[in-house]
Amino acid sequence: MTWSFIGWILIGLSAVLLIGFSFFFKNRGRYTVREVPGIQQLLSARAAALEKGNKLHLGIGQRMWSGLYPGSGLYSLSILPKYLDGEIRNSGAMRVSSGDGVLTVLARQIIQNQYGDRYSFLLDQNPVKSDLPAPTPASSTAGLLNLLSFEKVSSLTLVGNYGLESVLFSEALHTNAGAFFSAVGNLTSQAALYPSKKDLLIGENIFLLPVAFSGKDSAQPAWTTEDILRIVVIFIMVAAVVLKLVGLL
Amino acid sequence: MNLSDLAWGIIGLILTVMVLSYAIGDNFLFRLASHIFIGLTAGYFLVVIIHQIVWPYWVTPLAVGSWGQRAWMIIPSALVLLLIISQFQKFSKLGIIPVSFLIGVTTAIVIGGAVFGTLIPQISTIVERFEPSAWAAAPEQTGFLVLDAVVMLVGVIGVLSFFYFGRRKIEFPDDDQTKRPRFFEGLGKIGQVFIGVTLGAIFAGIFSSTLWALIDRLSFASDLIKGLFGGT
Amino acid sequence: MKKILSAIIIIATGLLTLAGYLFREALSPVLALFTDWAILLIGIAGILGIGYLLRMHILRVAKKQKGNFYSIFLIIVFLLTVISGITLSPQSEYFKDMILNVQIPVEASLLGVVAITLLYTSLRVVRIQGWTPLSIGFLSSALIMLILNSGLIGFKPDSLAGRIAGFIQRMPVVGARGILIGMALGGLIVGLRVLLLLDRPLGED
Repeated sequence: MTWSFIGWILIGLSAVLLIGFSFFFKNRGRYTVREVPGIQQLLSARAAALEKGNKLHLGIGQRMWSGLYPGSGLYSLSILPKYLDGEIRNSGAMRVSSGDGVLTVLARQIIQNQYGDRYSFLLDQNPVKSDLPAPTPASSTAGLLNLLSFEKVSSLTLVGNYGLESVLFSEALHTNAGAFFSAVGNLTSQAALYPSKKDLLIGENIFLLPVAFSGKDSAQPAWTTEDILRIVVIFIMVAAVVLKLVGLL
Repeated sequence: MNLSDLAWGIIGLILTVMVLSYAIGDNFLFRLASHIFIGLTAGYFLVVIIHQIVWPYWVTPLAVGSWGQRAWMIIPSALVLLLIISQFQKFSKLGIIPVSFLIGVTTAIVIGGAVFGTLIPQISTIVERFEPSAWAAAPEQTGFLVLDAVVMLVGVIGVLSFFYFGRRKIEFPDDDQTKRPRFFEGLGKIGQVFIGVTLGAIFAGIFSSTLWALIDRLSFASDLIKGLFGGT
Repeated sequence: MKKILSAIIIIATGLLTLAGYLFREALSPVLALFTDWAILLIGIAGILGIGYLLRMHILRVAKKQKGNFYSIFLIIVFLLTVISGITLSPQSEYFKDMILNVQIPVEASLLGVVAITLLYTSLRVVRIQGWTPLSIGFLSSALIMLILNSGLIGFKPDSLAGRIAGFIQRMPVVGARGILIGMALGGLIVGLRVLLLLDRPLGED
């Protein structure tokens, strides 16, 4: 048995579990995930901003693809439709930005699909927009800092792939007494933000973000599968170590 | 220093001061420098995309390729045109085709990258540390190598346990809802320390590297000013 | 119809590309073709992204919105760069000089601003995070790594102190591996959910 074969087994097992749990949770039971304080904070900050009539800003990453964090770009896109609930769609009180043209174009398509046929009407009113403050990570940092200042953004949420520049965004919001929330998958960003941000979502906890949204039940099969996979991976590691020690691997 | 170097040096110095001024707060100088930078980057990016992507991947095969090559360009040309047309509000629905193609390819890259680029290499590296022949090859270091391997395995299991999503069964409504099942909560405590150590080390690394960048800028500014005014 | 078409394209391209990891040789021509198409689409998306950027700034100028003064500079510099790039070619030494002599000072200075920000945010760490296993690990590791990496204390690699220092320096790798494995598990699930149509990033549920 090769490592590559084990990789395919993991993919197959995950697919089977995901499909199985999707059917299972449709009819009965639910998987109770633990509460994450940071996510509760996001919910209250979002509600407070909307109540005051302030604009929300969602940053979906500086790049779509990353070798170290392969899923983060796709994850930020899959979060976007969940974030755009009816209230936000109707009020248009949100702006989406990224540092990558592909992410911006895909985000725009997602927003248009969320509006459906109402889009053409709302486009002239005040729809949610997807912008590219600048086309590269460094210039996008400068661009987003300017956008935060010009538009007096009072609530910024970052998901996807950001680096150490996250600390600048966090401080910009802190200076303006705004709410900053990070579910960035990148370790550099998490390390830069850790000293100044309470209840920061670290590592895999970012995948609990759908807890905050109305369609959270659809994520239950994913959480269950991920926990089972976690146990499987631990088992594989321990078993492989034992086999290595007795000379069978 | 020739005239061109001097001119670029002065521009660099001015931009450095403008950007560093952000440290005391958002201001006119930072905004101006950043807009200049964004304009330049966007222009450069556009030129590079045209030269390195649009020309070789689209224009050249269509203009000078064989008929076979041209035929193969029908699908990507259609995808490109649909993506462009979809930017007009009336035709926005057409964008679903190229966007779905990009998402399909991305999905496969994500799955392949996650399993064969991260998961399997990381697990196999951990297991390789338990190679008895490697321990025997360096008898004076065996203790450290064994300790290294054991700490690695326990630490990684601890970190994975820390991120366990499931919640412990609660008996009363006011019980702590952030707790994992007892087994994972215990292991997660060990994992928490390792996560802290990792974030701390990365923080130290980024702090050192950004500090070097700051020192480099300051020494560049000081050297240029000395050069300009003949100081020593 | 739109939903079905999107699902078919996602599944077909996704599965074919994924199969390329398994049957690398047999599927390499298809993979090469897909890669070329994807690169072209990414390039076009990049150009469209720049279009959005320019549109935003042109509208800001036209509608005299806040920041329109800066937008004028952005548009002028953009046009100058594009004209220089097209007339001189991106390989030209003058063009490269122009880009690098702006890019390096700005990017390095931005890093400098990050350094200053990190310095004062780090002073808040205990007040913000309190004393937890994670924050203790963070603080002790940051301090030890700063000292060890500064080169102020030198150890002979073969000495006991050198081995202990090496062991300590390797400790951050443990947490990083754990986090990366976890992120990969999350990435795998995200990808599979899209491929199995359990999650629709295009939002048309």
